[in-house]
Parts: sequence; C-alpha cells; structure tokens
Amino acid sequence: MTNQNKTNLLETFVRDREYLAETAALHAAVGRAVKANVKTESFFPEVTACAEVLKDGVPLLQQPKYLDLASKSAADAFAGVLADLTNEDLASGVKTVAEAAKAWFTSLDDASKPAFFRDLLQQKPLTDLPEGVSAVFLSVVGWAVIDGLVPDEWKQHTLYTEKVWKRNYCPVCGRQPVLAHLRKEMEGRARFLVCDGCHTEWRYRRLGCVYCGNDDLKTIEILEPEDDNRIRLDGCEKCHAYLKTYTQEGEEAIFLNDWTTMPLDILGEQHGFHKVGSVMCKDR
Amino acid sequence: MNLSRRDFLKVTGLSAIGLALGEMGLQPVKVEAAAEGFKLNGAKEFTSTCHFCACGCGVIGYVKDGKLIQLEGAVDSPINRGSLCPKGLGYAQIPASKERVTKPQYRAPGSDHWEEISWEEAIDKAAHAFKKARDENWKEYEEIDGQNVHVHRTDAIGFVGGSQVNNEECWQLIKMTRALGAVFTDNQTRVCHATTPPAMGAAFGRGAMTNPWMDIKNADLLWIEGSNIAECHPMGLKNVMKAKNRGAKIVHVDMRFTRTSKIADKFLQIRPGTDIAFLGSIISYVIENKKFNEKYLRLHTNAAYLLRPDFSFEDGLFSGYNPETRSYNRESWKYDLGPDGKPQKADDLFAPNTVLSRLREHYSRYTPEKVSEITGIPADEIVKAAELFANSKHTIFMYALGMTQHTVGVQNIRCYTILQLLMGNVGRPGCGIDAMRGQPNVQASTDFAIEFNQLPGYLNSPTEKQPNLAAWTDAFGTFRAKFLKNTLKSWYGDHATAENDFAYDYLPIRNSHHNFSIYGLFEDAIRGSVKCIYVTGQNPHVSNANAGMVHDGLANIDTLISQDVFINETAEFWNRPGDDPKKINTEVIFLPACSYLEREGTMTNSMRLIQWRMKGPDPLGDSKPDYEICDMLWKRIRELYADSADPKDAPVKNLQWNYSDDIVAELLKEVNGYDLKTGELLKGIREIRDDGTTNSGMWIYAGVYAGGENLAKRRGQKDDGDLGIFPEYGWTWPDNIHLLYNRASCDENGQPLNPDEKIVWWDAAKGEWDGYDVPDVGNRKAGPDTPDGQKPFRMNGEGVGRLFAAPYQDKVNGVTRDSSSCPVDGPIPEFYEPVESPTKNSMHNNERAQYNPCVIYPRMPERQRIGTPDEYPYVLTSSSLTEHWCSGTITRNVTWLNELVKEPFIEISEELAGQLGIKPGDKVKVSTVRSEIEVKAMVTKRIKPLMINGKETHMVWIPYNWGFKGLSKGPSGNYLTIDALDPNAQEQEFKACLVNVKKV
Repeated sequence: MTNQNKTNLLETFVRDREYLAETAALHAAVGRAVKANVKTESFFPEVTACAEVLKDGVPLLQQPKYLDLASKSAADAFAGVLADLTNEDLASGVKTVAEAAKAWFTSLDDASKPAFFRDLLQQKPLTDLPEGVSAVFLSVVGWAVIDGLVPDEWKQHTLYTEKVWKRNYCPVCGRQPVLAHLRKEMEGRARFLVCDGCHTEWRYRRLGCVYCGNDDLKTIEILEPEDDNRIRLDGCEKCHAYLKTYTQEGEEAIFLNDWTTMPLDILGEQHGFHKVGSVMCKDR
Repeated sequence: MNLSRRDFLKVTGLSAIGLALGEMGLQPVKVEAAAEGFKLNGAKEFTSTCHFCACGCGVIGYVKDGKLIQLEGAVDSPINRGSLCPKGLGYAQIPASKERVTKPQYRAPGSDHWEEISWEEAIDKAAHAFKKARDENWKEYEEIDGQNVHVHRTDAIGFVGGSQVNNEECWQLIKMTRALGAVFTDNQTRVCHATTPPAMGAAFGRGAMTNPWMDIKNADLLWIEGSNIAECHPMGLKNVMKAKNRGAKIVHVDMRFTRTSKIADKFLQIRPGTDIAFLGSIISYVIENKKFNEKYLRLHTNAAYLLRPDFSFEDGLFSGYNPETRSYNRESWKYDLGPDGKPQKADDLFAPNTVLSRLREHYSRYTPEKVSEITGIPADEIVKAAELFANSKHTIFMYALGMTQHTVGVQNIRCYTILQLLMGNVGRPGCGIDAMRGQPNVQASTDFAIEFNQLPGYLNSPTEKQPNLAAWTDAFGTFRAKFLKNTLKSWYGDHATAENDFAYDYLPIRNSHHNFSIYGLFEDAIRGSVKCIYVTGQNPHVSNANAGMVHDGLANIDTLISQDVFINETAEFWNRPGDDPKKINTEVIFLPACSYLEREGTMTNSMRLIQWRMKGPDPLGDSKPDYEICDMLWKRIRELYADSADPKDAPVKNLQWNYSDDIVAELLKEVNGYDLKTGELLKGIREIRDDGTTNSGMWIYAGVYAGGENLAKRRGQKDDGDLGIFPEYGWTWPDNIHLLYNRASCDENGQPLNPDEKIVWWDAAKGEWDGYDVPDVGNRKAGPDTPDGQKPFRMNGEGVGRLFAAPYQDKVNGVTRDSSSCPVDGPIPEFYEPVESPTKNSMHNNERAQYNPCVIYPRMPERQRIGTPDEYPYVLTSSSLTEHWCSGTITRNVTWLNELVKEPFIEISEELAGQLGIKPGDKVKVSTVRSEIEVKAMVTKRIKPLMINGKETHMVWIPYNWGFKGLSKGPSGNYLTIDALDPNAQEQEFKACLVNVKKV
C-alpha cells in the first residue's frame, strides 16, 4: 500500500468520526512538525547486528551510548517542533498548551534539555513542571520526536524473531506495548506488539497477558465491539490491564494508531481494566 | 460509600484518556459521548489440540456466547506453527453441526427407528445391560491346558474405543472395564499400530515413536516407507520439509506414487507386503560392507552377545516350530548364558554364534536380485538405496500403517530397529524411528491399555500363567511389579494392601489361547457368547477388516451402546440399506457425546507429548462430555451392585470413583498418583514405591502433575541447544524425556559420541547427568562408572539395544528384575508372503512358510476363505486421504471436505485399465472372496504394474473412509479386506489382499 493510500484510509476513517477531529488534527500537526525538524539518526547500528546488540535484553535506546545520543538529538530538534506547533491552526486550548510547553522548554539550560529526554526515555515521571505546562503534551510530542529519530528498518516486525527478542517491552526504546496486531501466519495468526513511543513492532507470544504473564486464558476477558471484529480489548483479570488488539490486516494505518479507537479505552475502563503503554496516560 | 474504580469513573465521568485529552487542551466530551455508542461483548480464546491424526497440532479457538466463532492454527505450537490441514480447519463445523443428534436415543429390538429418551433412562438402560450380561455370563473358573483356573471374569461384555477420547476418559474406561471383570477391550490401535509396540519394545524396551516431530529437522535422510505422510500426517511433513530445506534427502517407498513421492529425492515402487525382503537386503548390505557403527554396536547393542548353538533357521522356519499349534517354543532363541546367568559377549563381533554373525548369515540370502523378483524394485535401485542409507549419518525412518497393517507387521518394523541399531541411529538427534500414530489419542489409548493384553503403562494383563502376583512378578520382574501394585492401589485404595497382594485377585485372568482382540470380539458375538458391546468414539462397522463380520456380530448381541458425536454406521448398523431391521433384535442405546472442542482434558500425541485442551464452546444441545457420561454410567452400575454380597462384585463396589465438579483434573492427578504419606502429587517415576505408600495410576505418566502443577498446560518456547526439544511445552512421558534412549548418544564415559550433536552428557563436576533434554537414565546420579550409568536401553533386561530379540530375564539373586520381550514369530525378521498373495514365496519351498507360519487363518472357516490369484489376480491396498479421515464419522459430516472429495473410488494403472477396457470415471465392480463393491475408477500413472517372480502383477488402491451414514455416502472398502492377523498383535492385513476388478 502506498503512503498516499494509507493517508486516505486514515483520513476517511477520521472524517466519518467527528469526535476524532481535534485529536487527528493535533497528531497531523505533530507529524508535520517532526518531519520538518527531526532527521532519522545515523548513529543507529546496522539492523543486521540487532541480535548481537539486543542479546542481553537491554533495549537499544536504553543502552548508555544510545540513550545519550538519542537524548541529545531529540533535545536539539524539540524547540523547533514546539515552535512549529504553535504556528499551526489548532484548537485554541491546544495552542495555549503548546505555547506554554515551548516557553518552558526554551527556558531550560543546555544541560537540562537532553536531561528532559533522558527522563522521558527512561519513563521517569515529569515532575516539577510549572503551572500550565502539560506533562501529557510534552510526552506526546517528545515521543513523536524520538519516534522520528528511529530509522524505519529498526521498526520492522520482521526483524524481531523470537530468537532476537521475546520480551514484553520494546526492543528499541523499552516502553511496554500499547497495542497488539494479529497477523496471519499459515492457518493461524501471530501476535505482534506495537510501541506507542517509537512505533516499533515486535513478535511476541500469541496468548496470555503481555503485561503480567498470566497465561490462564480463562482469566483473559476479550471485549469486542458489537458488529466490528477488527479491534478488541484483551483484558487480564489478574493484573487488570487491557491490551487493544487489531485482529485484521490492511487497515494498519488506522488501527495501529492508538488514538483512533479512544472510545474503546473509555469502555475498557468502564469494564474495570486500565490502559498500559500509552504516551498519553501514566502506567499504573 | 465503598466505590469500586468502575463506579468511581461512572460517577465522575472521568477516564484516563479523557483526563489526558483535557490536559492537552482537547475536548474529552465528544470522545466520551462517542463511547456511549459502542457496546462491547465478551469473548474468550481457548487452546486445544486437533482431533484427527496424532500430530497433535495446536489450535486456538474464539468463543462468544458459548459458540465457536473461529478456529485457527496455534502459531506457538512447535509442531504446526500455525498450520492446519483441511481436516483440522474443517472441524470448526462440528460444534454447531446440524447433523448431530444431541439427545439420547433408543432403538428397540426389531424396530426400524430411533426413539428419543432421557439421559436418565439411557444411562439406566445401559447400566442394566452391563449388569445382565455380566451376571448371566460370569466365569468363575475355566479349564485351561488341563488346569481348573480361577479366572473370575466375563467374556460377554466388550469395550471398544479410546483413541477418540481424552486421557482422563481413557482412564475411566479402563477402570470400568477391568472392575467389571471384562477382558474384551480394544480400540483403534488394534487396527492401526498394534504391531508397533511389540516391535519397538523388543528392540529398545519401549514401544513408542523415538523422537519428537521437531527433531526431524536434524536428520539428513528421511526414509519414508509405509506412509503417505503428505496426506496422512501433513504437519509431520511440515517438519520433513524443514529438514529438506536444510539439505536432507528423502526416500519414499510405496506401492504407488503419492503426494509424498512428489517431494522425495528417490521413489521406489514396491509390491505391498514385501518390505522385509527389501529391508533384509539393506541389512545385508550394511553388514557385508561393514557400514555399521562398530563402536555403537559394541557399547549399546547385543551384537557381540553369544546365542545358543541350537538356534537355527531352516526351510523358512526358526528352530522350535510346532506345526500343530502353529507356534514356536522359543527356548533355542535364548542367549548362551554364562555361569552367572548373564549373556556372554565375544571380543570378535563375527565370532561363531554372535548375534551379528547370525544376522549376517540370515540376511546373506537377501541378494538384490532375489529381492528384486519379490518386491518388483530393480536390483540396481535396491543397491543404490542401500548405499544412500549406509552412507547417511542421521537417518529417521518414518512409517505408519503401510508397515503395521500386515500379518508380518511386527517383523516389518523390527527391520527398522535392526537397521537403526546397526548404524547407531537411536538416541541421537536427527535419528530414530517415527511410528506416526493416526488417531488423535491413540498413543494414549495404547498407554492406558485399552487393549485386552495389557494393563496401564505397558504391563502385561494376567493370563492363566500368572494366576497370582508372585507368578506375575516372576514372569515380568520386580521392576514392573512395583508399577502394577501402584495401579491396583489407585483403583482399589484401602482394599489393595500388601497383605492381599494389592487386590491382584480383582483382575480378570485371561485365557492366553483365546483371541480377545476386536476381531475375536465380533467373532464371539457371531458365536453368541458376547452380549453387550459398548463403543466409544469408534466405528468398527467401517474401520474393521472384513467388515461384514462386524455387522453380523452386532446383529447377534443383546445390547449395543454407542457413544459418539454422530450416529455412525456402527450405531445404526440395523438400518443398513437393503437389510430388514425387523430381523435384528439388538437393542441400541445411543449416548450423544460432545466434540473435543466442547470439553476439557489432555491428549497424548504421536511423540508422547501430553497437551491440555481447554473447553471452548458449550456442548451442543444435550450432548455431554465423555467424562460426564462415563461418570453417570459407572455410578449407576455401582448403585445396581450396592446390595450385593457376592465376592465377584467386590471390584465393582470397591473401585475408587468419587469425583467432584473438577473431575477432569482429579482424574489426571489420579493417573499421576500421590505420595500417600504426605498427600503430595508424585513428581516422577523415581518417587514411586512398591510398599503401598504411593498410588500412581499409570507409572509412565507420573510427573505430569508434579507438585500439583498441571504441566500439560505449559506453552513455553525454550529450546536450548536448538534441537527442537521444547522441554517446557506440555509434558512428555516418561519423565519429560523427548528423545528416547538419548543416553545412547554418549560413549562409555558419558560424553557425546559426536561433540557436534550434544543432547545429554555426564557432568562430572555436578556428579549428575545433564542435557538439553532430560537424560534417559534411571538414576541421574548414577555415573558412567556404575552399571546403571551404562544402560542406554534401560527398559530392556540387558540394558542394551536388541538386534536379535532373544527371550531374556534379568535376574538378581534368582529373582526376576526385568524381562525383555520377544516376538512370537521369530527373533529376527524373515520374509513371508501375505496370506492372500499373487505369487509363491520364492525364498522357500516349504508350504508352511508361504505366509507367516504363526498366522492362524481362517479362524471361522465358513466366513474367512482365502482368495486365490486365479480368481482374484490383483493386489489391493487400502488407505486414507488428506480430506477424509478413518471411518469418516466426522469428515463425511463436514461439507467443505465432502466438496473436496465426494465419493470413494478405486485407483488403477493405465496398463490395467487398458487391459480391462476401463476409462476414467467408469463404474467398476471390485470383488474379493469376502464381498464386492461398486465404485468409480480413477486411472493414473501413479501405479505401475511390476514384474514379480517373472510375472506382470497389478496393484490397485482404494480409500476406505466411506459408509452409509453421514452427508457423503458410499460403499465401505473394508467389506473387501482380509482379517488375517499378525500373530503377535492381532492386527489385520489391510495392505495386501487379492481382488478382481471388472467394468460394470
């Protein structure tokens, strides 16, 4: 599928769902700003070396060398991204939030800027922010920048065979997954996990809770929207987390963006489960 | 107020996503409102294993509102990695099939229809039928060989089936059978692989496939003879293709070119029933050219053992033959024991009377030229095949019913065991013998001994020669007596004590001269002595040879109880087209079982892997899981005997049978067994004691519930060493050993014979055996410097592999510790013609040696004539297809599969079609001396005529999977086939009988 087709698919989906318009506009603006300000980084090792690089189970960007390089690169690009966003035609509330974020970040000294990204990558809580500066906004945009640094070939699910990576956190950045995708494999389907931070996909075991390891399927409650079997929530009755799962192929451009199915998150919570792995919400 | 989180959110209207959107300056209200427009429905995924062949493929189902929505291959199963064959996928239709009858049915004697009855009534009728048959036909004593033997059994009840039900249900069935005092019990293993355990057991000590499916990738030669694996074990082939992709060669030997031949590097067309001749010439090649693995032979086999000088083979007969009884006195087949009672070994492998020199002499007669005349394979092709085999370092023989279903089935498979021992190809990765089982749980129905001649865990069922525990122990050894005591303890609890020989007297004593197989059952039904037959998940009316005998037998009993997913040909035999139901006075009770997807339990696949199957959809209508039906039935039978004071009824009253709603887990725990001192579940065979303080129901499964954890549920992907072991996926018997006899991969010091193929080893630093697989040693602390550390084939009395299957008992201080098994028809294989053969046996002039001299046929002369080539000139082989399976009870009710293959047919060569004027699609009449059927002809290039002993000989082939019930109906091929039986295993000769073919 061409990029244009993918874009059309998503646009059509959003157009039919007015409640997504604001969020879609924000993500589109973030996308443009990242594209304009962030370069895919050349410090990434060759993907052919991935098995060796990842053999100890430490995600690439959590390894000291790459953590350092990525934090610096992201910090260098971030002010430009925020500036672009303030110039976008966004809802007034968002604009205010973007302005505040830009003002705060540009006020940081040179050492604190990469430190912000170091904290973000290490998923430390963003505390001590001044009134009016949104941690959620900084997280969403900050992770979009990190996402922009990662070369596409490091995000490919085909890279992460079970021999290379069989853990429940992202091989590139270390985040827990926010989504799963079932891809057809012979007469079955394999499960791939999707990172909400850098959008890397990796293969993971097909069954059971990816968060706590519970493999008693009697205690995994699947919640599926009536009349739509494309996406579902796999809720674990042991750790009470749910994993949103896209079960088909062809509409990845829609369903592998976590925000396109936000109503399900609300319903998931109403069923007593909580969300994990989202750049928008803190993990519990 | 005590608010849950869910209540809290409802009250505040805030969700995590809503909060986040709000913080970013977006409006959560719209998204929250949109959420109200969605409704989420609950669903569940569940895992199970496929229910057709015994590959044991993993499936994942999706269930909503108790209904199956989707069935897919399990990508995490190391066996199938997401693949499923058309049958496995097609099973998804069964849980909601409209063809299923889901209420119990009753067919009154002479009636032409079913009547619906309640479960209560059905169970009550069945229980009374058992009681009546048992009480009116109880045999307390029987005269056997001039002795009045206390046999305490009934021959009026027959139990049939086990390979289609879960392990826990097998356990219930065998408990019921033996407690009732019944000896007639059998399952599809008789018809399929009964010849495998005696053959493998005689060589290696255990009767099972030696290595996991996933080890196949490590082979460099896959020798497939007697199997159309591509069609009959599709996921076995998936693993073969992995090996092929790594450079392995594939040889296929078959009577026709099949989908399997298509992927082979070498295809050899062989005349059915002549495998021993062919393999005999390869044995000879290996020995004459010294291609054998000398180190392995000396260390791990009986090659250098000395045989008695009076052992001989003359004129087609081994020494000790008695023509009156058509049996051997096996005394002269024994070793020439030393003064210590142990076998003596020669330094020179070819010294006079060594096993190897006897083998050499025996097989020197199998020259390529001679064998070519017998088999139809060109002599130079035989030599090339032998060279290929002899020069391969890692060979796996793969076989199924093409080897087993013969009157020489055991000896066919013995050829494989000899070749593999010669080459050192047992116990090493990428080597072995893969007996590919064909029914989903037939490995376990064999393990659980739903067989007249066994007790659970391959212990011999007692005959008049073992009237008490002491005699049994003397015959089979103290090693196995320990396990028998545990089974009895499990069955009879406090009623089994050391003081009463663990209630050994509760076991029925079998008459060793009588045929209690499924064939004997229907013969005795025709004779009138069998009154009640209970069939669970089997359809002998279609799947038995000479199937007309099954029909006539069923028509001559009082009660047939059929428990199945569908009403099949056996259940409705009285309504066979063309028959008059009024003349059939058998009452029939149909108990509707639910399908495998609708119930939980474990199954054991061909590689001994025990896997848990979760319950998916709810049972359809009023159908019930087999375990529930068996539970209801036994409780009712027990009630009927509650007031009896008759000693014959004590086993019924005292059988341990008290289960809660968690019955399936409780049954599996019972099979595993407990330490009665601590109440803990046993962790393995090593914890079993023989003093009544443990009660492992079936010793070989001890450990499946180790420490209270159901290990059959595991789905771990660990595979250190990358050998395909997957030790944390399910649990294999025994002791989670995946590659049997893996000790044989090591030398005398416990180190790998080849450092590149490490699987287990002696770790001197730790002082124990270790490995990627569980080491196959009796005691992991017993180093190679101890006798126990030098027993690569520890289940044989000798502790080594047996090229020559000499009768042998290992004695310690005069007491039998363990015994080795020996086929009744020879310590080494000899070629004999099938009972119905197109030619004279060119190896011998002795008429007694035309076919297996131990075969007794006909057993009922008026019904079992032997066809001759003048009337029936062609050789018939029958087998199966990818799209249909066994008797078709399931597959002929799956519309997708019927669309793929809609009717039976006969495959004939272009040459024969030309001679008979038959065109593709013509209707032809296929006849044997037993019966005739009409089917369409499929004319192909896949079967060529062969030159046999100077005469052009034609072979034909039919699939046997049809009958008069189901959505696709057609004549059963098994009306044609011969029911001559292998003398060791009572398995029929499906693969070779004589037919005539005529255009209609």
